[in-house]
Amino acid sequence: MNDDIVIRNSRSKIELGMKGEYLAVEFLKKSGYRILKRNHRIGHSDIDILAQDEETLVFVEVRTKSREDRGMPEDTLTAKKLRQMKKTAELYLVFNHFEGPARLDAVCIVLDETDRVKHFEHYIGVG
Amino acid sequence: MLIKVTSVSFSGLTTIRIDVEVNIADKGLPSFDIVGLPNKAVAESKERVRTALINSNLTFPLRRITVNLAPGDVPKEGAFYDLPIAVGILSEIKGFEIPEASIFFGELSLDGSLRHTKGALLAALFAKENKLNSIFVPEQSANEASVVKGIDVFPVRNLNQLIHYLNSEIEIKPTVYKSPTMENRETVEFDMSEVMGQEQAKRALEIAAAGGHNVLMIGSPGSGKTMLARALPGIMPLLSEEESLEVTKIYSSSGNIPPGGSLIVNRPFRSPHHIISQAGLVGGGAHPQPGEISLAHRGILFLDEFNEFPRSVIEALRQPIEDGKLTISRSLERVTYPSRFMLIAAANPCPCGYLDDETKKCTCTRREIIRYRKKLSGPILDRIDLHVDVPVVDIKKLAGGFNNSFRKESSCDIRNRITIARTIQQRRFNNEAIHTNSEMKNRLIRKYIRLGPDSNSMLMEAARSFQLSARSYLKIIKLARTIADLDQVQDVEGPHIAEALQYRPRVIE
Repeated sequence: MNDDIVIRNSRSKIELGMKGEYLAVEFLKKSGYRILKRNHRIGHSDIDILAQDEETLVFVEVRTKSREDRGMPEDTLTAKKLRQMKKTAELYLVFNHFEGPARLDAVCIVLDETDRVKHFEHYIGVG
Repeated sequence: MLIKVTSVSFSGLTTIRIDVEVNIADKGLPSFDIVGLPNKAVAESKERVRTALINSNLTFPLRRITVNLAPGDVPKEGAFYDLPIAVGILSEIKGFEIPEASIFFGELSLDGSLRHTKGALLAALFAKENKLNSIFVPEQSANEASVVKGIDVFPVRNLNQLIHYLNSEIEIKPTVYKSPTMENRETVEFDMSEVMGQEQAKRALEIAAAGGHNVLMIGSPGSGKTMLARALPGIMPLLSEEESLEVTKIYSSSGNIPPGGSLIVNRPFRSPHHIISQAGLVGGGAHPQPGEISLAHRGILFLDEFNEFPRSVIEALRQPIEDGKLTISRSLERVTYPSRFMLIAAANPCPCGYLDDETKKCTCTRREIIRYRKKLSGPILDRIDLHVDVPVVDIKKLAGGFNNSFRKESSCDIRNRITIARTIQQRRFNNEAIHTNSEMKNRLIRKYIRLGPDSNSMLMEAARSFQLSARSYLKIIKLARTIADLDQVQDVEGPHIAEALQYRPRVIE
């Protein structure tokens, strides 16, 4: 019984995350960004969305929460997480010999039970 | 792109040049770092600069910003690097040239305006000495910096105003120094004519003010010791321009000049409470700050209830009284602050306060009195030239003073006499590094003081009967010289010696 709940919960979390990332990609495309990669893995961590804003390489972290969760997605962007994102981004720049400007962005989304967007924010230049 | 802005760094009263190098790179993730041994206040400058730019409706560049404060091995402290850092960044994003040979100095407020910053005078003096053209300081510190002539002092109100100026869109008029009028000079709390009676104490203070001697006033509670001391600034000669600058430098470096303030023209009068710590009195700290003795430089240090000060605190005064300066050595730095002050101390004669009082009976035992007096060590008392009794004023006399309409001498009259005595001393010590009689050492005493025939024999007689030590002997000669200066005579004569002898420390029988 308990196991069921855990599995169902984690599955819905993955679903929620995927929905959020989809919404973020659509938003970035509309804003004129070129989407280069999605869920690109480097070592243990991955980059949710890799986009290009003019000549700047943008690493986008998407944080999605459902409304019944407590707290805002912004709260999950802790100093530790930001440090980790920065490290991942720097590794990517080194591995790919990228010489131009780059930055870290975050997209924070809250969805309600029927997947309607309750909160959507694009943060430019975090960390 | 690399931009260089000139600023300064302070160690005590000395100033060194700091090059603020701002590099803005397009490569890699955005960051904002300050290197070059910044302390906490300098490192926090990052947040002030970022927020001030944003609140001034400017965009903070999302690029890799590295700020280097060179030379890199000198520890930097203070919040005044905000302006040079902001100007460096703005020069890149707004594309203006940074004026050559200019110092930028000032702390930013989060709204983009500049705050009054301590040390503006020292920075301006540095600019002058190093033949730079101009200095940009916060508007509220501009009066202080404008004391220095020969450089342009630009008052900066906020970042937007500065950008417009550096883009040559508007003019900023350099602040011009306004010399203080007599009205600016603070009126003294009490006039000497308000002090009833106490003619002997007034005379002693006059001598002290004329020769820069230290005074110890001993008297019962309520006899007027504090009032006399507070009236003292009114009879002291006005600060010379050179002295004003010395005092203002100390006040500037310790942040004691109010916003919009300028040159200090009043003689400092410091009266710390007796719970003061040693560092508070003589100065201290990891980055040594001036203490009360330095803030009283060229002025008066009034220690009321002298017996109540901790002994260790009082003993720390010995060296600065002799040398007129104090070097504070810490592991990080070594700083010298001047401390040429006049010590005015006041104490009760015994724990109950009424020894030798005509109206009230003293309740102290002899033992108690001796212990009380012993709190002041010989070496300290030895450095005090005038010991004066301040007896309680007779009530009848006091009442008579209120009814009587006759005018007593005002502070202004006394000051005129003192100013003449000081001029005589200045002429005497023209070729020496000292200003007043009290600063004379043995060699100078021999060189400059001539005793009349009767005064010599009187002195010998006194030395024999009072058993004067070598130091007290010389002290009396110095004091007599000042009294003679007040009389405007060439040689020290008998009456001068006789008066000087009255101010010896009193021994309890």
